[in-house]
Amino acid sequence: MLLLRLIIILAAIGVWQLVVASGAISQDVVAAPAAVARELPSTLSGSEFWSATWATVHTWAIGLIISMAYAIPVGLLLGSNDVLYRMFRFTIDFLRTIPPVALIPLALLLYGATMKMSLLLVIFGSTGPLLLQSMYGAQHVDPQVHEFARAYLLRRRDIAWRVVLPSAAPFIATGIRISATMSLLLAVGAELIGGSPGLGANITFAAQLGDIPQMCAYIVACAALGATLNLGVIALERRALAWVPGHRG
Amino acid sequence: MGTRPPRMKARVTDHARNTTLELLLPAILLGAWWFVSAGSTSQYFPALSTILAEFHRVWLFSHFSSDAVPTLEHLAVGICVATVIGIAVGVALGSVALLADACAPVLELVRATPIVALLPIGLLLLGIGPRFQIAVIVYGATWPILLNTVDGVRAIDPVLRDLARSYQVPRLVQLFKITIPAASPNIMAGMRTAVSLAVSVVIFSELIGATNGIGYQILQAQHMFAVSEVWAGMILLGILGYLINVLFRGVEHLVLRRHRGRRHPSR
Amino acid sequence: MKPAAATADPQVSLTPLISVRGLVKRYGTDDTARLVLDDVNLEVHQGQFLCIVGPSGAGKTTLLRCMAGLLPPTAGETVLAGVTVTKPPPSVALVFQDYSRSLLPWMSVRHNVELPLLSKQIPRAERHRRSAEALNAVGLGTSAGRYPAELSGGMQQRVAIARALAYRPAALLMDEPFASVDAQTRADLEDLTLYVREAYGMTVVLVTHDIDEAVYLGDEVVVLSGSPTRVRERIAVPLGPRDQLATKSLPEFTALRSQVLQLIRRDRQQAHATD
Repeated sequence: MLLLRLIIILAAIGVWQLVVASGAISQDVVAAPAAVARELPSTLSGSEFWSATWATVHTWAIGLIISMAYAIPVGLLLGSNDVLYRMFRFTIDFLRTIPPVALIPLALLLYGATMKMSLLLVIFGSTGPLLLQSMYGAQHVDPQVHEFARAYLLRRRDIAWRVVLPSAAPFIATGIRISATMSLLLAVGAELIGGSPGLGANITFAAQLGDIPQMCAYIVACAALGATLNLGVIALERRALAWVPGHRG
Repeated sequence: MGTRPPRMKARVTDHARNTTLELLLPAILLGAWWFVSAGSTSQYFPALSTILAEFHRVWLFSHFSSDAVPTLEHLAVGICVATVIGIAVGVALGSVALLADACAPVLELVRATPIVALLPIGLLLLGIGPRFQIAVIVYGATWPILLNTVDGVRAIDPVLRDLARSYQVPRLVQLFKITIPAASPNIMAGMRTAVSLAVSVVIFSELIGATNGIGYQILQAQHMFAVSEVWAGMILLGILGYLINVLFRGVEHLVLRRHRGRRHPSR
Repeated sequence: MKPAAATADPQVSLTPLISVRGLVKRYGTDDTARLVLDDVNLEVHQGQFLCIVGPSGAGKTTLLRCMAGLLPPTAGETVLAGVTVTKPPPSVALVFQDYSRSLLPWMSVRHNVELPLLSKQIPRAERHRRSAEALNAVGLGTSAGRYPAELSGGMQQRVAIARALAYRPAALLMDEPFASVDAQTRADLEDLTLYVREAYGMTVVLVTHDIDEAVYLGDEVVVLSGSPTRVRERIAVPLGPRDQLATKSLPEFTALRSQVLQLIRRDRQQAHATD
């Protein structure tokens, strides 16, 4: 299996090389893997690259953490209280479907091409999944467990911490995973379109300068970052949720 | 009209109460927004009344056909094409277990790449215009559909495969009457993601490479510092996003009518 | 609808319809290999009702699947009407144990029954006719437009049987078809199977772990040994027309039943002894 996977990966790269080398897609659009590979060492050794990566990761992380800080508690609260849930349902449903990208022009007006702008976008976009999943999680607490807690007269606070939160944990984890992907998308998107510091901006700059190999190098970097962050989040999730019965290990 | 039986009466008032409850918050929020922003002199947070006036001026209906309609058209075409490709390739990959496993790392990597990062390539390749928009939507929407279809096909109960083989069900019939319906909860989950992603992505594409469209319109407004118009565009996107979502949920409900009781996994 | 009890001992021809010769099935190829079937030989004659019993884990399902062409044997062969079975033959219909999983929930009962007919290039009118007839035969004539999820377990299994009937196979292979229903429904379905066999002149091979059922239904009972499986014994069941009450109170029934039970028990004890 490992061999087969390797073959497919190599085949994919090979097709890429072929498509560009044969001129089917011009060198002015996409660089051949060979050219990108040649470009990578100089790009990776420059401080420009690392500061851009740091900026993107920074925006991504801070935005995600801020969102989690308010969206998860609010979501749990709304999910646990039937009246509140029904009051907020339509509103959240509506706000949730606003494409976060719609915020970019306004954010640009407000903050210009700064990290604040990308941060605003990330926070706006990552709230939705976190809120929704936390709500689901709170709603899906096993009613028997809830009954048990009340029968034993556990305090409200204890119920929240020891019953609702752990039950909702798998849902929250899913929300974090979805938000994490979305946050990266929005961070890079904001940088790309708005020019705020980060990998996205560098992609645009390279494209504007006509330096296609470097542009592709940055795109590959984004892909690698996306994959790494994804794996990181999944690994954390696995560790944190190891105790959940039936959780996909 | 005679008296309704007590149980039915209770249900009707219940329903009315729920709807009121649900609309209460938006009404309060909108009212609050209106009043708080009424005398606003802030450059970036104009009065709601101004915003709504702009909304009326631009989107009802002078720019509707010239900008909103193209965006919606591109969206519709892109999603349809993505659905066909996603399901076709997804079924093909999902049916050959070995292939699906072998392609997994490559597929995962492509999936983890933020699609926005690839937009510049698309722009260079296709130039500004509808081709770019549709291509971007197709690319973005295909992946969730494809990956979920693969999952769905692989999860098909082996009994159904035995059924098809032992009763000599012809290939085409098997595809359309067994495989695709069996995978449809997964396919619909993928489409749900794809639709909201497509809405995001089309606006992205209009912000960097379009000559018309809602995103383009908002961008123009932003360049001209017409803040109220930017807000108006955002409201339009919110409304359209919501309506598209509602429409899709209706479609999903219809398609999955007979699948009640089955798991609805999502990626 | 309660079908009338069927007569036993129909006209059986001399050449077997299905011939299983030296069937061997091994899973895996290295040290983890598991020998499930070890030289199984049996014959089923046209019009016969053969029941196959054995201790659990005896590879009964494996045997049936090999006979149905769903599983290639490691050695040996199954011959159906003179042709070696390499893939599912068109003259065999399978009724699965888990009916709820084998019926397509997105299709109506009628369409489920008509599905296998699509392979035989039968025009729509004829398909309708056959499905209506088959559903009537199993007592579900009025349920054609309903959906599987609306039906009870017993009714779903009837639909599966109707589906097999509409297919007009030469042989019906049933894999523990009544294991998942309650006793009363099982009795009804057993009688239904007998009726249908009589009405359509079908050959039936039924695998079950229920000894009572095997003796009640079969003209012949084949007892399999434990794993690795081979045929332990073939027992003829000359009990005449069947009736749930009358037949099961016959002393001959009890005798045959004990005979089968003894064979299976002995096998289990031997298996334990060699552990």
